[in-house]
Amino acid sequence: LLRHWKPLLFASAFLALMWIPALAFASVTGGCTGSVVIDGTTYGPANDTAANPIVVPIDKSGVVAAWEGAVPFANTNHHGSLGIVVGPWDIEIASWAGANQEDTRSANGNYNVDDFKADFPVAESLIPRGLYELSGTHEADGGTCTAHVMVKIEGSPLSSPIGIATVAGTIVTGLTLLGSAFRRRTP
Amino acid sequence: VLGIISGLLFGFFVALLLQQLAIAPLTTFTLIGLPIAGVVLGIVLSAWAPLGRR
Repeated sequence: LLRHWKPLLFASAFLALMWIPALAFASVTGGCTGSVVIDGTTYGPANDTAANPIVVPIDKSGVVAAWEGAVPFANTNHHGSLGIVVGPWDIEIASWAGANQEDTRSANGNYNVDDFKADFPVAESLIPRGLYELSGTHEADGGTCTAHVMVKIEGSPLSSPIGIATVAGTIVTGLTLLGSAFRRRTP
Repeated sequence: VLGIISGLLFGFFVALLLQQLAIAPLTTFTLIGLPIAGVVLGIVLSAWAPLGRR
């Protein structure tokens, strides 16, 4: 075993690096509150880690997300956006704005997950499963809120073509990387 | 060259796999950091070649 301490050291370091993103971070700033009930489970700002995400059962039909939210400040002339974090970028998936002269500071509603599936630009089976970080902001005359939550689209990665391609790509490139570790023949 | 390219792609696919398995989202660390770590690993493995002659 000692003869192979170097490869074991490198493998351990690489695996340790891979687990770092699973650690907790962020949540809600600015005093805003909100929650959503999906399939009988209530989620809130605490669902901001990979180990404790908001779970969306995409394979079930008829699932309704009952949401509510409130801001603690004057909410006139508000605007905001919600995006998916992809590396250093935020891809905007929703935005809102309004004068809100009556200064409404809370809202609630129901969102049908089937509508999300219907609005998605690809078929339901092609919707990539897995973990997503959502990032949002809400600004108004009275203040600003920011929020980060984790959302898990439930399902096996092997149930979508992207998942199958990912597993196959990992295996092929992993084996190719291993192949580069062999010493070449000297002429 | 094989080590660099395969390390880069391996890091990218590992980042996608972690996202698909709901272990980690596609953050800067996973999407950028893991491919860089893969390139470093590829360079080290190629230069060191610990597995003997093919």
